[in-house]
Amino acid sequence: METAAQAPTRLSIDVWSDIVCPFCYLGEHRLSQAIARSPHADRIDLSIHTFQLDPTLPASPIATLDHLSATHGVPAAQARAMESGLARQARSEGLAYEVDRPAANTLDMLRLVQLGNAHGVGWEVMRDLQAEVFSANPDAYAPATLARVAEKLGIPVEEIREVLDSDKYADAVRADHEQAVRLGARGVPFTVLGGRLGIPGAVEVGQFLAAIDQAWEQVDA
Amino acid sequence: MPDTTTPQTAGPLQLLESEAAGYCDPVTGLCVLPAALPELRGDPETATPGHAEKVVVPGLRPALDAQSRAHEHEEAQPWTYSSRPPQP
Repeated sequence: METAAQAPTRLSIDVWSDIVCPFCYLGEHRLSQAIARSPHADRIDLSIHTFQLDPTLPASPIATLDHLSATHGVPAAQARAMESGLARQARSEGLAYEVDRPAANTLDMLRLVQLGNAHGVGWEVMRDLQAEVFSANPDAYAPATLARVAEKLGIPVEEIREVLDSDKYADAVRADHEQAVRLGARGVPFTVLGGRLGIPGAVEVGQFLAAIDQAWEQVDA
Repeated sequence: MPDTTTPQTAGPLQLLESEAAGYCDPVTGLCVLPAALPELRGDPETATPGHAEKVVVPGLRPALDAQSRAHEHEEAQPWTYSSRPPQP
């Protein structure tokens, strides 16, 4: 019989993220690469947590650049130039990234991530929904798109419908947010390794890898 | 199935910050582009039990509190992005 002392060491990695956050999109990609390169990859438990950046975004999609300009007083040309810089960075790392993409309230998407977590595919739901947004699918926020993404990942249709037709998991979204703040997060992405090391932001793959090594040494001590 | 809503923290949480880390800040409403690519290291001995501990680690800048971080945003001329504190 296996005892707790004999159980193999495992490292938990917890990531807080939002759908529309470009650095979350980039950081998750980098973390995935770091995990794939880690010698401890098969002993890492990766969990996604939600962090809604802007609950005031409207339910109906608007142009991201228009929203940036209007909300923060940035000239359209400046917003486009800076978004273009991020797009170049993301594309250089193999990610689809369109500057002219829709922005909308992400609560329904994040509730669906929570449902995904209940089925062990929260990370995949987050990534696939981000892919819809950052590839500029004009229907990225439509319930039909959300349902398609979730169903493709194996979540039962009736459970998807139940979530999209209610506010189920809204409390979990708020709880995730509050926990991130309690842990010291000031923004997203926010990554916690082994319950001990916190990494704010989308650091480089090598930095994630070094942090995984460091966290592994601590949990394996 | 693991409980994904409540990560277990094994005591102190040590924050490792890097200038290379772009992130979106819900307090200031800013997303900040990375500036440099320092090496990431940390010293767990510097952490204090009971709360998140921000530390100075080799190759990384000291962690900033929210006020100084917001000030840094102004100096860095970052681009802005949609972010707001959550509604209760």
